[in-house]
Amino acid sequence: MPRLTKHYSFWLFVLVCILFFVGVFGCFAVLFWLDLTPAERDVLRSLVQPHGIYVVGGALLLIAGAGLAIEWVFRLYVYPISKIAEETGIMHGVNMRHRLHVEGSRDVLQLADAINTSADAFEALHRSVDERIAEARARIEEEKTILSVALAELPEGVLVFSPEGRIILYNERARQLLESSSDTPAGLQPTQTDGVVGLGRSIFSAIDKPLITSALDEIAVQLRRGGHELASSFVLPGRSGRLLQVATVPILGPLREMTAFVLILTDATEQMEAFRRAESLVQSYTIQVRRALAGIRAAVELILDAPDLPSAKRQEFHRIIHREALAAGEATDRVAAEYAASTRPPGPLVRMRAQDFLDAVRRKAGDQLGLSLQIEPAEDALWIRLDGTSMALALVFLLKRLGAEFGHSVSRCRLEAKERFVGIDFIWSGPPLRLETLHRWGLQPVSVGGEGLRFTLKEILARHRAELWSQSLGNTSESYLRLLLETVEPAEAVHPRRHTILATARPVYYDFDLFNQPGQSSELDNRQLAGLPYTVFDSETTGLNPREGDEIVSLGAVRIVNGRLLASECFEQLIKPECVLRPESIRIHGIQPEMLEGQPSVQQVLRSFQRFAEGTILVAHNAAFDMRLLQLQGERSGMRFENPVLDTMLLSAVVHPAQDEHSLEAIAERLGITIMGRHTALGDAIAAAEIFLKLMPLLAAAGVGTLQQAREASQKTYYARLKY
Amino acid sequence: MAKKILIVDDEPSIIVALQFLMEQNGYETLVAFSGEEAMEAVVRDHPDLILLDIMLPVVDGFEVCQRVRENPDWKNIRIVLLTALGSEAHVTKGLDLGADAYVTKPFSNADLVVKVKELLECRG
Repeated sequence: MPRLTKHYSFWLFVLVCILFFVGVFGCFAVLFWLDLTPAERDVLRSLVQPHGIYVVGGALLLIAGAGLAIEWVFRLYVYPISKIAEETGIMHGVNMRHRLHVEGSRDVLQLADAINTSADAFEALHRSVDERIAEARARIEEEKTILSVALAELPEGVLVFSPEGRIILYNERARQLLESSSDTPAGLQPTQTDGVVGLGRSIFSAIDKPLITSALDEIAVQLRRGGHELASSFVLPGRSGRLLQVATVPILGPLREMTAFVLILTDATEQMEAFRRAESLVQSYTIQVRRALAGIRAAVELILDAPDLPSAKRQEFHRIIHREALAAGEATDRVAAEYAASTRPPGPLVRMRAQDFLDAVRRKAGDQLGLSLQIEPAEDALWIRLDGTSMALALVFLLKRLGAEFGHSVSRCRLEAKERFVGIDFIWSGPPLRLETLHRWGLQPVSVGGEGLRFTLKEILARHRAELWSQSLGNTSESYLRLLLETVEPAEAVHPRRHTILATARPVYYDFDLFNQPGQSSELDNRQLAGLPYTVFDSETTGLNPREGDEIVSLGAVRIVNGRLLASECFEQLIKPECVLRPESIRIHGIQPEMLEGQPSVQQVLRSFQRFAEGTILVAHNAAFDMRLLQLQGERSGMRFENPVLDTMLLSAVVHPAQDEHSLEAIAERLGITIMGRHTALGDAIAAAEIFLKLMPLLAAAGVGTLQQAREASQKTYYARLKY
Repeated sequence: MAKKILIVDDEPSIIVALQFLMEQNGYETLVAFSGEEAMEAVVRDHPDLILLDIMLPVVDGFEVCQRVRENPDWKNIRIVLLTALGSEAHVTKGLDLGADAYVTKPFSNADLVVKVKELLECRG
């Protein structure tokens, strides 16, 4: 790469020196000439004219000597010192481990050594301060992590947004509930977000504006009234036709001003469906029974009111009564069966394997009562829904009473499948329990040892729609106590819970600094770079000439919000191109043609990428190339990428004009960044994002604070003139 | 000698209807309005079959069923549970406790008579 900036300044300096030298010499020559008498001028002319070659030659030699002297001074003092200035900035700004490697005069080298020694001391000091800060921060981070993990594990979606409508916190469940699967083109990676929910994004991209504004208006009215229950709810269509119930709750500042809003999203589909089913059942039952009763009542009243009714007529009315009574009975049977099949036991019950539950009871009975229960192996996995803790304690309570009141020691237990039920049996040697005993125990609060519940056994059974009885075991002298529970399908959809390992770094969903975000995107140009949202992207292509038809085969991107790289909100997608993948590009990125079979088209991916990058500044390394591709390929499907653009290559040249290299690798090395996955779209995008984050403070120090300033400074660099 | 059928229900209109139906079919009938009365009738009259409603005050039909089955002397007494509950869990529980049949209200008179005849003939 040419060192154009410093060469320009050098030759400019040389030119100015020569002009100055020639100008001064010329002035003295003219004054000297004017001072001479005509006779003296003739003498001088006669002396110089035959020997002019010596005069001109001497003058040129003098100029050349002066030029060489200047170049020598520049090489030994000026260049190294400007390089030292830049690299010193790198050392105390972004890469403490960077050291000066300059060529120049002995004085300059001594200066560089002195600065390097000072940098060693600074680095050591910095490290010790960092360690102490890290220790203190680790404790806070752990608390934050626990809080954010708790948030992530909630079955409800939680989403917090600022008064300007920017999302400042959300959990994974909120993203799942709000992001539309129907909009995701076939073939897109399921893990990638389609960008509706993300830090710094507008809430209105996820939820229609009128719904939010009307909820906020309602809250504002409640607030003015001085109420304490500040909340507003609405229903929202979610992904795959689901219905979401959304509660909006404000977060108030010390002066009761609204500083943020929380949306709590609950999947109300099942609840609404159950309600709809129950309503439909009641309605259909009412109609059928009323119709039957109308017939019965009319016929009965006719018989009662007309004692002299002819016998044939009376018989007919009897038949009507009988027919309608049968119809009412059938309607009742049908509704009762449908209701039983379509409803579940009420209450907060959890789906689990009956075997696991029985095992838990066995362990509890062992711990609490010293019972050693044998579990008879069951053939199939049976699934039940229950409040495991209450029910296990209830069973241990029963086993305890069995031993205490009757001296029965339960020795084994088993599972018996009975159509859509499972019987959980506890077997002992002796007569069965009488139901009246079970009724008596049923009225007592469940308690074993130190553990007690506020519920009675009867309440727990009712909550599970469970039946309990005791019977003899065939013709043996053994008896059993049976708990009968409904079974459920193993495939029943539930919100999955997974165990959590606390991360060393907290999840990215957090960013409370966003509370202080300025609002509108129309003022982007005057906003500080550090506060803007960015999408840093990179593309791998079929070749290097977009104008000649080369296409994107892989697109990767990450987002930066409030100066933080959001690693979990990334975009990565292979694309099936329409043109041939050139061998030379395969050598670079390693993407083989067969890897692109079945991948989505560039139009599908660009549409998804456009949503991902909505409302952000696009950043790329050598962005002119990537933007050209986006522009050419987007135009074919009527898409325009109008986001403002920044280029890390140009920004590097802005802050480090004395450096020769501004390639991704060179900048990364200079700024102390390790590139993972070079020449993968996502790997390069992440590297560019890290570079951009490190360039930001250097730009600020160079007086480039706003987006407009960054763009203007970029335009002035040499590299901005490269065209694709 | 006519077979004796004990009808247990706390609903008088059902008792009247069932009493009439069974007598028409040549059976002798006894009636009880609660679980306790039912047990007294069993002890006193030793019926051949009990038409037993489940939803009875204090001592319910399940309990009567269990008590009857506890006494080996009464093992030949047939028990038909009658109920408006109709839940499958109750059917399972009733049959496991020793009932011979289970009929959900409202029932067909003819079907009930057939069921009663079957059970009594089976008993021999």
